[in-house]
Amino acid sequence: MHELQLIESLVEILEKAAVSDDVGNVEEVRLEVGELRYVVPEIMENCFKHFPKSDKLKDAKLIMEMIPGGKEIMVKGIEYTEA
Amino acid sequence: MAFKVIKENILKENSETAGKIREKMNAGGTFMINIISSPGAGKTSLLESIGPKLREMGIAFVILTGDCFTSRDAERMDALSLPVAQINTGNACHIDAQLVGKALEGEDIQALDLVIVENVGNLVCPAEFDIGEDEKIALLSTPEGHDKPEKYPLLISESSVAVINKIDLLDRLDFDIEYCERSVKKVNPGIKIMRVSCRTGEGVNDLVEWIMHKIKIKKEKNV
Repeated sequence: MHELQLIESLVEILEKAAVSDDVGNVEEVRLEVGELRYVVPEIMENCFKHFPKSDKLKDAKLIMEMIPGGKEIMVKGIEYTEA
Repeated sequence: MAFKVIKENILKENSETAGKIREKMNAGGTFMINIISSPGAGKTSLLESIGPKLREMGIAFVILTGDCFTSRDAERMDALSLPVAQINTGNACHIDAQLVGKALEGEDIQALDLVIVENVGNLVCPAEFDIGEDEKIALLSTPEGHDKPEKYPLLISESSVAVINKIDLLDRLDFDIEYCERSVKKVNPGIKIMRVSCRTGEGVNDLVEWIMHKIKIKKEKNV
């Protein structure tokens, strides 16, 4: 269950990004996921859904792009409604 | 709708902590290895074999052993008077850099030649988390089957040595050691392969020699 630890780090990064005043609600979170990380997308989604987050992030959806042969998981960015 | 670019590695915090551990090890000229295998492949047995030999050679070392719940592995090594510290990971399937950092807090790194981390038995997650080690050792064993290297390529690709343990069982198993070695090399052409039996002691000295060589190189770098 390393997904939970990954989501914990992800949410920390997102909270920092969402704190800025121009960000209303975060709708999408785009991730690049290296396939060699052996991440199960469904578990990632589930962990993310249930992980405690601020109101701005609570309805955000994870959009994962799998990278063949990749070893990293990068947060590319967030799509949000402007406040 | 607007888009904000973030471009940040999710494991940044772990990588940063690992980087700090690496700096400390480099400053002390201390060589650090991370041993990873599936449960029951023989990580503790390997340490029981190499530990006394390293001690006889005058190497100052500490073993950090990771386990989900028990301290059984630490007790086994303690029985041989090997210097060991226990890391209990609870439900986590791997050791991360924070846990190693904490376990090393009480250690005088400068006085150590070698730190050995015995990771939690698992071929997936431990390979993903940098803990500040110099080299990873992948430990395989004959009863697991010869197809494992291709199933867990990240570990093999990240490791410097693949130790194949329990070769004393080869005549009882359908394990194709040549196939296994070919698969290991296919994933990581530069990897060293060692055939070992912790039970009979065969091949164990190869690993000891490799570790001694690496310790020497690390010390020389530090001079």
